[in-house]
Amino acid sequence: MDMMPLEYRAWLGVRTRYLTRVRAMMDGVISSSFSSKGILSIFIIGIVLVHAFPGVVLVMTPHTRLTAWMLVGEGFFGWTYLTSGVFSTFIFLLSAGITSNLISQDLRNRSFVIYFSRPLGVTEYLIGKFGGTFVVMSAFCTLPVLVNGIMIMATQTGPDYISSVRILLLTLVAGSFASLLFIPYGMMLSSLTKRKAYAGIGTFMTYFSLTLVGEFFSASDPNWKLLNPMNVLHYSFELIYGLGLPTDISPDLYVLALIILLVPTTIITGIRVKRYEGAV
Amino acid sequence: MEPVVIKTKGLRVTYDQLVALDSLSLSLPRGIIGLLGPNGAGKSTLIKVLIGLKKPVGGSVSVKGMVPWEQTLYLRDHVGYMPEYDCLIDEMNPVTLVSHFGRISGMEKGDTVWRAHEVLDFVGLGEERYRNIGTYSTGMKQKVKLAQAIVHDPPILFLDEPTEGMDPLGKEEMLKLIKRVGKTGKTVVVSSHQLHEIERTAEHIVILDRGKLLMEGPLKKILHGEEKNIRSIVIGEPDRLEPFRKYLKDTYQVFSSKIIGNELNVSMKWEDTGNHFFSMAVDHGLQVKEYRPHIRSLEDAFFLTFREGK
Ligand SMILES: Nc1ncnc2c1ncn2[C@@H]1O[C@H](COP(=O)(O)OP(=O)(O)OP(=O)(O)O)[C@@H](O)[C@H]1O
Ligand SMILES: [Mg+2]
Repeated sequence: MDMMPLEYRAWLGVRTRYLTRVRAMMDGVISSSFSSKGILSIFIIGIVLVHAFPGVVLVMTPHTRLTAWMLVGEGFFGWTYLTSGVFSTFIFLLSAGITSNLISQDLRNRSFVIYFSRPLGVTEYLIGKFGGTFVVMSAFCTLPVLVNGIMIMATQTGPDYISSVRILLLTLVAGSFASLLFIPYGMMLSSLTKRKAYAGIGTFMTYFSLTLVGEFFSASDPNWKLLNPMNVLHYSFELIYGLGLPTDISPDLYVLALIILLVPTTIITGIRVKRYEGAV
Repeated sequence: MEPVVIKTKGLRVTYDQLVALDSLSLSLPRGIIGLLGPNGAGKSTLIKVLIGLKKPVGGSVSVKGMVPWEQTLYLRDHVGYMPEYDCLIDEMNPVTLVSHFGRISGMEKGDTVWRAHEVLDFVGLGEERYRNIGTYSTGMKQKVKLAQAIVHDPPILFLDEPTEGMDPLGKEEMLKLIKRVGKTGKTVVVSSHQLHEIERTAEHIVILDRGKLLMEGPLKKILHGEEKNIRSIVIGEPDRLEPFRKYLKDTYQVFSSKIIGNELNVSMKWEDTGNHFFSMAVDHGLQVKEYRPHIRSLEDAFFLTFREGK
């Protein structure tokens, strides 16, 4: 194939504002997540197993309004929705799946330099990666719960719409919290290894082992339950919906567990990526 | 005189103890600028300083009037960078990669896809652009690296060893692309070890060695030299040629000399008249067969300056 050499052509568009670059980073994460077969499968199976069934049951059950109890309590026939182990397990799986490639990809390909030689700082890079993951997680943790909530409201027989709307708003908060809680740890592991598999399996196995260890020791002291990230999530749901912490759990230790999940992980990720900013 | 686009003064850059650039002062105009020097000369380091990836410990820098480590983000809207080593994301195809990085460089989402295709057409990537970069040869990757550097149409480009790892045809193609981009009024800084490549591509030359400036100026001036150079063929008895050659080497600056049979081929610095050269040959019992002013190659200039520098 012999082609006429093409002359270089200019691009005459106008540059976007800097914050738009963060949007571009987020979109990158979102589109690569949804184009990964693995993540997409977890997502779809999760929607069916976690959200579809409780949604149908709650809508079918006679009710006068949407209550917190329907979402986080021991629901009908003794089974639960947001506080079920199935939901948490899918949150673990999904966040491990998305975060595993988030930074390890750039370590593996030495591609930090093509980000950081552009108008993009380490903070914008991290916010973009985090934000993209958060959007995908929200599509799993928040959106379907809101849809279920609205369906329940649509079929409610009582007149108390105000309190139903309040629960809906709390659901937005709870879903967002669930979406972000496990991202920092996954991002941290992803910034520590070039191997996507190590980061993904490592993240999931950490949650899984902590769950086992936490449950094992909780017989001696209930506060051990805080070692189980699933419980941290469930207690947070209960707090957000105004049901309060279980009385045998120390609030200080609960806050400590939250801090451990969010703060050191974020700092380590920041330090790791910062190292690659100029020294490339 | 062309306006200065890139200016450094007394630039000093270190990596811990190691001094990578030392008291470097440059004034570079628009056009294609060849950045030459042996391994470890500081070429890549200079480029990193100019785009604000590395902060110097001393001296001043201005790129299009901006200080790279102060107006970093703003400056980077105006630069494109092709790093020297592999940095592409293997799991992406070039269309996705180039449009993604176009957006990060400030392009509207709607613009990026057609623009990605446009620059991929320009660098000469065909249908393979829908394949993941992980399956690419080095030459193809170099093209994608160039494409991601020009997608947002920056007025200043930094290409760090763009022909590295390519076969001769690929190199030729890459140099043509660079020339075509250079013709559009951009400033294109191209680093290389390959003197002959730079000689055919660049308009302005910077030669570095161990962090210091060896030579800088318009290519034409460097090739012609500040002074006169000649190339001459002198004939005569072989046993007379050798002493003459030794005499020339001892007395003048000789770039190269070779005796084949009864011919001495010499290229040297000569500021005197032709007559003087002819009579000198006659004094040694020899004849001048050919005498002409010599345009040296960049390689001559390079090695000469290099020897003087040491
Ligand atoms: N990240 C780094 N850490 C420590 N030293 C470095 C680093 N990068 C470069 N150097 C040193 O700085 C000096 C200049 O390196 P630089 O990479 O700029 O040279 P170069 O001219 O690009 O060489 P090459 O032709 O091999 O690419 C070298 O001595 C090198 O060892
Ligand atoms: Mg280099």
